[in-house]
Amino acid sequence: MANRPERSDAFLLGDDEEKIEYQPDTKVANAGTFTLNKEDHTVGNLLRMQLLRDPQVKFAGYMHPHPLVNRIHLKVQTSTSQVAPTESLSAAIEDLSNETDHLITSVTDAIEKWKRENDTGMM
Amino acid sequence: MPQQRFPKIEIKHIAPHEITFVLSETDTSMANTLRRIMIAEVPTLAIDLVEYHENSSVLNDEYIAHRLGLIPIRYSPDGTLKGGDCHQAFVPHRECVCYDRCPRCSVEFDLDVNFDKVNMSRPEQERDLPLTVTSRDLIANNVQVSPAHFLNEEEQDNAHDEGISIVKLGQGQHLRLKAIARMGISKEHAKWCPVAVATYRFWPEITINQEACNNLTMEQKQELVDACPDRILELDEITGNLKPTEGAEELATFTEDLKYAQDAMKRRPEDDDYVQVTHSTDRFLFSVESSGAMDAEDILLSSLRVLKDRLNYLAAEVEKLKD
Amino acid sequence: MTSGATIRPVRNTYQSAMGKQAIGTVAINQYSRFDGLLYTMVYPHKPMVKTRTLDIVNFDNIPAGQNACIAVMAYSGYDIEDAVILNKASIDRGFGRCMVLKKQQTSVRRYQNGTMDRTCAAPDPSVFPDGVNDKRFARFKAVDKDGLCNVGELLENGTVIVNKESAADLQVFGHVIPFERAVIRRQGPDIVERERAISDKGHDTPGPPPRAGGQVRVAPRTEGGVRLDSSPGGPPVQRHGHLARPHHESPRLKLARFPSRMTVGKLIELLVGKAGVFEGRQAYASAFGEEFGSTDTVESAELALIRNGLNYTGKDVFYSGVNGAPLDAYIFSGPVFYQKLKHMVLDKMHARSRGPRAVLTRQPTEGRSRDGGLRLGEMERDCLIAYGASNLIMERLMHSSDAFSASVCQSCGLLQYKNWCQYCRSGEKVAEIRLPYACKLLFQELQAMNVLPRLRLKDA
Repeated sequence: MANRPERSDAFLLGDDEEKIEYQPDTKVANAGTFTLNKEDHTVGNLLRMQLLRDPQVKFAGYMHPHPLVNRIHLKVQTSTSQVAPTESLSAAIEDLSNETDHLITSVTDAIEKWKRENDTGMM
Repeated sequence: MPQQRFPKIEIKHIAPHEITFVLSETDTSMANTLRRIMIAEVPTLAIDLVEYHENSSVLNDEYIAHRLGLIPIRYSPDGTLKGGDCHQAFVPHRECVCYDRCPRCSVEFDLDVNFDKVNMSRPEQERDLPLTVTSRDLIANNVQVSPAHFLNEEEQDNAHDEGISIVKLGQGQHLRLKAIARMGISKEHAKWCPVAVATYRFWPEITINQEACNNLTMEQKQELVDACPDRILELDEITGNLKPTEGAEELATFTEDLKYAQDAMKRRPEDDDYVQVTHSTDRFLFSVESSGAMDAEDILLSSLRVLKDRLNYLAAEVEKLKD
Repeated sequence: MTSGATIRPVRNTYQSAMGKQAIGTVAINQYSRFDGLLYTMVYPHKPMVKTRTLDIVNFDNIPAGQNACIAVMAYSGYDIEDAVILNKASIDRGFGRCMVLKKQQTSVRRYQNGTMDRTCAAPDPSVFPDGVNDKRFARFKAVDKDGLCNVGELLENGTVIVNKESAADLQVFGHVIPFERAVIRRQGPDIVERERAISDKGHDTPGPPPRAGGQVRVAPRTEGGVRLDSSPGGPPVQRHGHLARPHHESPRLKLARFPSRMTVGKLIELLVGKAGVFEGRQAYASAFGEEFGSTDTVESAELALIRNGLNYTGKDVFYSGVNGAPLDAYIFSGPVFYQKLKHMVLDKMHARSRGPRAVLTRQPTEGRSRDGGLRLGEMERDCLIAYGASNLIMERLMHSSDAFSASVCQSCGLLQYKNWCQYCRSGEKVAEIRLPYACKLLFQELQAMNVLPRLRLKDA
């Protein structure tokens, strides 16, 4: 139909868009909402679950406003004023990044190991 | 305080088109993120633009273009039939500096099939039959790129199939076109999806309460065995005890039949279950099947790379927020 | 025809009517025919569940729908009532894809004065002020030397399909009569599929005159507002806006719910179809079974499901595509044959704020094809009267429709022209009023029939 959104809108950042925007909560202390543009549940759920594992995070939740809206809102509240939500998010991303690194090496090793053990000559 | 996990990978099986593995010591969010990236964000090549020079076939231009788009295009860097990760070899066409297209961001395929010309070289008895134009007629301008027909040479030699059919031509019909393949992700269109299937299941934990089972007759035990359509239980021939079958973890479908069958056997509803099948929370059985565009193991590696790149990008953006 | 036709016979009747609107194969020679409007499905399927009647009519060879794997559940809240949520990837891969062929034609006549319509090549670019670059010349880009469009040409809004010229005067008999251009144009970006040439035959024979024109092809994607229908007395299923869900978020192909008016037939089709999928054959669901007993019963389907390692009720464990957790309930899922009906929102949607009016009444024209207005009918008017919304009635029925300023003489009560009463020979008591043009027209028509309506004016 005429007003169909472009498919590429789902992953290409617009010229006037920032990847991440942060809005501190005006009513709750140590809380704020991150808006991640051009992201969906893939990253949203991953970050939320990682944030929830942090003992200094009191609340972490995300919302995908509408299937046609290509951004997520990630709300984070920390338990102390020592740690800003931005710090927690940064730490969560860091941990996930390391986890992914670990996965990459273990997958590579596992594939090599499997091929050694099952040398079919196919590879 | 870092909250990092150290997930484990255990490979069950690798074939060019399929990989099954067990991911453990992480949670659902990681497993699901991997699955989602494999389906939607691993870049592959697919035909995106078609220029028609002549089309007198029975199918119209859009129809053929759609069919061409869905042909898996394989990038094999080292001259083998292995389908590799194409993200280093190409740039997304929107990011390329070229004006329209260039070899950095696209691959051109030529297709020129003229029934009357080809028909001369066909066996006598086949000349009245329509001629099928297949993906084999697509000739790329890049030797590393080809339509994916077969997973390996053996299959290619044994199969009677002649590639992926595009259209059938009759007498006097001619199809000549130039198809341009670009790199993309399946968030834009499903033709860029490298996987046919990418799923995971929670690892089932099958616990058999032998104590409670001792109160059952052999008939009742047999009834429990028969109740499971996924055949995860069997009777030990010597002791007559219930035990999970070999590979039961890979067969289990968590069906409700078992629950109903044993509820009917219990004397009191609050009695312990004889057999329990529960979802493990940190162990996932993945099964990834490739569409042919990439080898399954490369899809897995590529998805991890995509995730890594994304997280690095987000980390850099969060750093910017801190200032 | 209807698989699993059981309870609720009305639904079978509805399906019998609706099956005819399904997009599919019209006839074996459909591409040789020149239908006014032809809908064809790009990738039709044999139904997974068939009936004896479908076998008799050879439905497998002229199918009119596609098998979709549906899961029956509430998901995401966008699947209210009859809506289904489609997997975006399945649309990309061709689910519900159809091709529409529309005929555009004009007649080429011979007239009494011996002149004849003619089709001719595009005019010389020098006729236009900007020459080859002139926009008016660009409209003729599709036209070939014979005056008809070329096959395969892209038509934009206003592109000429047939460049026809007719004699300016059809009454005069003479040798040199200037010709005027009469073209048929096309709206929207379409592509010429076939052209239709003029035949010489028929000019002198009775019957309609020969025609020239082309068939244009439109390829709409399956998108919001397409009507889908499942055959076992299923209701029309309206797909939601652009809310097709991405592949990685859908547990299966499609999600739907069964409102209570669905028959048991649909449940049976699903179960029997699922068994058929796993057994690798088409299933039978004729209404009353057959003597030779090939109809699949619920029992036989259940046994087949168990044989293939599935739960006999057709329910399975599903995982949420959003967060990856297993869903709390067992989900009923399986294939159902869906027909795509030829009603498409794109062909029906219409709105106007201003636009053409009918010549006689000066009221907005009627109908979408004429860019017409939306009628506020008598029943709607009754509602407004009952509500007492007099200003709204004035607005809808006059100001936004056919308001007209007329002069009325207050002494004789007749409609007059420009502040002068021709009847009273005076301009003193002529007042200006606003009334619907149709009302003024009525008064004048009555006068023509010797009925004299007089207007008595009061100060409001």
